[in-house]
Amino acid sequence: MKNLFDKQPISDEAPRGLRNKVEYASRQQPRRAWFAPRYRWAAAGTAVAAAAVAGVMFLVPSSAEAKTWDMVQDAYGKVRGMLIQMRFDDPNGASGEMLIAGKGNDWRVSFKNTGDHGPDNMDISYSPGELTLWDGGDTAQVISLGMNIPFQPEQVMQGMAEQLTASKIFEQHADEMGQRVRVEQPVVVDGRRVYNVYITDPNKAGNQVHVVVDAETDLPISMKMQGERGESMHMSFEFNGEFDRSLLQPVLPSGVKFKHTDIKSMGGEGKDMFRGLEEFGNAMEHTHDDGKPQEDKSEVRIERAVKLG
Amino acid sequence: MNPTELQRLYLDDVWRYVSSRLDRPEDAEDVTMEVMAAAFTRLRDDTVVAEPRLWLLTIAKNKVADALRRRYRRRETPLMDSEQARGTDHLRRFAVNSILDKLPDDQSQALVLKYVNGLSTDEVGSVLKRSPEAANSLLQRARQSFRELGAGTFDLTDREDEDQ
Repeated sequence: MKNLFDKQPISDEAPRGLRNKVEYASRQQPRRAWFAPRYRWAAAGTAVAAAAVAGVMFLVPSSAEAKTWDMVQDAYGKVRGMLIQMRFDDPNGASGEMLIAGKGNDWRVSFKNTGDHGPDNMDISYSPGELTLWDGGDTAQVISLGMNIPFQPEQVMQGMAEQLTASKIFEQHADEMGQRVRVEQPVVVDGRRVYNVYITDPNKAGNQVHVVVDAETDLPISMKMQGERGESMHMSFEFNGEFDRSLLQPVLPSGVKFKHTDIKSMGGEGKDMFRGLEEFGNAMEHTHDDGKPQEDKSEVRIERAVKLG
Repeated sequence: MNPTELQRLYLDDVWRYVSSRLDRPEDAEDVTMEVMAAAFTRLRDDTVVAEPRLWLLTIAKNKVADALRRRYRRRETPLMDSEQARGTDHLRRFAVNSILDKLPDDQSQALVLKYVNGLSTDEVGSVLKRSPEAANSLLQRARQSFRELGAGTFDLTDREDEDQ
């Protein structure tokens, strides 16, 4: 019996890649709640960007389909509002739902963990002058900013498309991964002209991305991703539509208390946060139509904001 | 013991156990990572661990059981890829794993802990929450079941280790 198991071709050592990951994890500090006790306002923007990039990334065709990429870039430039809903499931028991909604200056990002493990729930919403942050705990922070962040979905999406094109990150990604893109002829589904885009990875059997794109706007309607280990993600998109504005309101479990804070009454961290928001606002507002930043007027704006406060 | 030291000393033990119990290397890597992450969390909470190796293997046993339950729920059939199927060693491994899969879970766990991780019978009992006598009895039943299922596939005449 022992001899039989000794002959098993089981490596005595963990694979190098796994070893590296475990070593890295062993050096990490204990995880804190994602914004407590410090306010990490940037998480909101990062979450929006990350989720939107995830949506854009899988639409990026290989270099042979550059024409299609141009169409996608143009389409995103016309976005005035957006609603992205996402669900993912992982064979290891992680699953979750994410919502990203933006219209005018109102926006919201929420994440609900529906699996056995993974990130905490969160809900971040913004309406002019007020930011609401909930990290899955007993208390939601409502922060009065005394100023507006001119968040415009179209600016974010357009800027993102430009960045992605300029850096060629995802074209390189597609080349390196050997992904293949197939764009099919438009068909009519439920009275709407759409075309299907399939992205497959010949090196990883089972990996497939299927995107349904509106043929009139070249914007995605839905996307399904299937990974080689059985992980899956489904995203649905609505752009420029009149979606229910209640989706922009935070949805928190009963019992969650709201803690109201005025940013001006906060100490050093509040000032840091204010400064950060101000710079973010400048970056958003002082952008030409051609996407290039205008002259830096942050000092003027800070002075004006302080006076308003 | 800190997390870095723990992974340096015992990661391979966890890997050997998990990769013996799960067919797909990517599943084994994921579960090994889960085991180590859970252990790191406990250590950072100042949990005192007397027998780190056995403690880790106990966590691994539970994580593998979770993974197998998930797989059962999905009615997933593990597949060997064509590259693996070509090698005699892999065919043998596949056959061994197939038999282990057919054994009751505790018997399969006991055999892997005994023969892959090289634990003593007492240590097997510690991981499986059994007395030394019960662990010995479990191993005997496991060996007998393995022999019956493996008859015709393996030469299982060596008995030198059975009473150890």
